[in-house]
Amino acid sequence: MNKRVLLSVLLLILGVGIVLATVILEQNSDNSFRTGMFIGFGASFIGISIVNIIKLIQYKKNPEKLKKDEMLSKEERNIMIKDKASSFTVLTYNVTLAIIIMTLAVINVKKEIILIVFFGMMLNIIIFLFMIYYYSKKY
Amino acid sequence: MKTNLPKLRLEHSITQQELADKMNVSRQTIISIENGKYNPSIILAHNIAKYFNKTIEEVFIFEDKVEVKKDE
Repeated sequence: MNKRVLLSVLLLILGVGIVLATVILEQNSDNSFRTGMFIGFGASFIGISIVNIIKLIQYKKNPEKLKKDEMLSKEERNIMIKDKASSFTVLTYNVTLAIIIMTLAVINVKKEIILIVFFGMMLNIIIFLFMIYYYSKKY
Repeated sequence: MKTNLPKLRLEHSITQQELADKMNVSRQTIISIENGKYNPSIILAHNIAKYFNKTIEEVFIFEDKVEVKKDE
């Protein structure tokens, strides 16, 4: 519980830090896309941490809810559902990236950008294969 | 996998929610097991059988999809 409070507070500080740093450092920037992106990241960190903090306050007031939510997160059927959903997400993620790479190539985007997306996809596939190997040895 | 769980629950006058609470799972899990949509882990199956004082085979009906080879 204390770890979760600490993580939420750290995330809040990080979010506020990113927003403030963006506002100060990007004051005279003409790259509105970059400014917007960083403020978006910062704001989402702040949002997530506030939701987490509200949840933790509710748990403190109602320990039964904490117990129930913890049980649900560790419950075998929910774990199976999460595993299946994650596995499907990895598969569709790689297919999506492959489609994006082909689209970028067709619309003649810079080679470097295509390579970044390509390496992202490759890294994902390598991690996936490594995890299969790791779990096949473990179990 | 089919199950005698609804019948056993009725005999013991226990609701799905009560059984779920005792097994430390959600009510949805009990519903899915009863509907044959979800096969419980061996631990959960054991705990459910133990709760009703039955063996796993008495609670769950296994459909043999794989033929088990026996030594002659």
